[in-house]
Amino acid sequence: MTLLELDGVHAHYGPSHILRGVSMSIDEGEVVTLLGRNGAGKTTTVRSIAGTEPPEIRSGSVRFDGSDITDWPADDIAMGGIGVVPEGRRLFTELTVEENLELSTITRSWWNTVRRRGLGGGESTMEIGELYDLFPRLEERKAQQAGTLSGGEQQMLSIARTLRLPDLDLLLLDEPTEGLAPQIVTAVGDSIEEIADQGLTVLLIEQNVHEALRIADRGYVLDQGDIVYQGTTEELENEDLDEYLVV
Amino acid sequence: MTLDAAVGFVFIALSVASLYLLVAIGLSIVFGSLKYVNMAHGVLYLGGAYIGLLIASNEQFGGLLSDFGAIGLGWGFVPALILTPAVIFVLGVAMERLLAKPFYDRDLLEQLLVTFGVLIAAQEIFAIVFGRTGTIYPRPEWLMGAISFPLIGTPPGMSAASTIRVLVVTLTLVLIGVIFAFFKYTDYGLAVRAGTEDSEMAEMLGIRVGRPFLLIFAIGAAYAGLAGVLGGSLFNVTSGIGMEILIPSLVIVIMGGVGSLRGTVIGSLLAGFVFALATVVAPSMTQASIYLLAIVVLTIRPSGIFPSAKIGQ
Repeated sequence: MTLLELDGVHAHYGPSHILRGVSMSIDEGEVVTLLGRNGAGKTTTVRSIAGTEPPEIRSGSVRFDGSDITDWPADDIAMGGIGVVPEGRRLFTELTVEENLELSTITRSWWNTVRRRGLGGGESTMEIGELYDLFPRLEERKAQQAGTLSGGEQQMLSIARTLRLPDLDLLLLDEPTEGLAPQIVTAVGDSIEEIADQGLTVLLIEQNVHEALRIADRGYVLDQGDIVYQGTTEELENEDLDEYLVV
Repeated sequence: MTLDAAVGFVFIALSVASLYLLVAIGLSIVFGSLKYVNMAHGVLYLGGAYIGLLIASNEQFGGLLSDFGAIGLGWGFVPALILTPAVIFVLGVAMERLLAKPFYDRDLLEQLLVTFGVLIAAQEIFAIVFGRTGTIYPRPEWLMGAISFPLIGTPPGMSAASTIRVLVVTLTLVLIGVIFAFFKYTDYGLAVRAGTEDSEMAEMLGIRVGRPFLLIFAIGAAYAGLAGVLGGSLFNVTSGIGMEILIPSLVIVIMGGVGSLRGTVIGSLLAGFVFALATVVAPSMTQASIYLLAIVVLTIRPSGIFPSAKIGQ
């Protein structure tokens, strides 16, 4: 069953036309990767799905779990089941690890849920104990300020924080291995595989093609704001896509 | 200087610092978290003073009200102390939605001009309605004279510490504790701290940051309203008090480091003590003393006492 569907999305940053009719879909339980060079429009695609502004979607639609979420605000989209691990991690650096993880549970506060579209309010996708099992280092550092963690630990916290959201159906990971040491890249990749094995649908945005193809079931290639190729991991591996990718 | 006189001096300084602090704290939080300079914050102090007066007493005002004889509920000081912050809290909610929110993304200069205009207009309206003559808060008997406790009476050395000043300082201490606890221990406080650092990311975690921001704006307003009642009990109430308290409070916020609670507390204490000292050694320089202090502090620390502190610290 299709969980997420983008249909002819045109997204703009002011006068700049970034996405030029992106169409793609993700089925429930799949791990799909979106590949492309810097500036291809990968992050704009993530932001278009996540409901953050900019960009402004001027035409096309984003459908999630049967609902048209094109005009939904970011907080409703998060409560609706889409979690974003953004590029650059964007942790709350002055808050402790524990406070960063608590934030996603605020979504269940009464003041935060009133008058929503009947969304949210459920249990966390992963409880704190499960997260500490997945990322043991976070438990060791739970009283530490997030800004003092290493790059790898910060990435783990960024993923863990999103997994605390209630009723998560789709996880968007924007460049999760960016700037990490090679052994940490593999560790983060393993964690993503483990999360996907638990049945969560994942859209993985990557420049690191090898790592992305190791984890994903299939993928799309984005170039200059449009999808130029799609196929299974095997097809992507065998196709000559050097023109569009950093290999 | 005798012990009694020294204690009296300290309480004068602390009570003045308390008033500044109660007003400055809302300014600082809103400036630090929402990047909104709210000169209309002075209206909340002004409104608090007059609303408290209408609740506490029943008296003849000037201006448009002069034809109506004595006006006011006459419920006394304590009901005024409790009800005024509640009324100003509601006014704060309305101010955030109608005046502040539409200007969050606007230029600092535009915010300054609009809110300053609101303050001046409000002061003029108060002057027209209540008259330009100062009014004095009626003080209940238990608030008169030096602080006195049951059984022990006035403790040694406290004969110059007036009950009203001790009350102002004690209430402020409690309220500062409450605001620190709010940031440290509540979901709202956590959401404000996160939203201040990266409001878009907080929204991507499903948090509606507008709501905690509205609450903290209204709490700041309630504190200013309460300061209006307490300030009205220490000094005169006139239509010009909004501006009189706002400018030094803004100076304190900048001196302490915008958004820093600790900085605002320390800035207020410094201002309170310098103010009290000036009343003793150079009374004509009382008002100017705070600005001189700010010049010294900002020369030494151009970004304020706690320049890098985050909201809630």
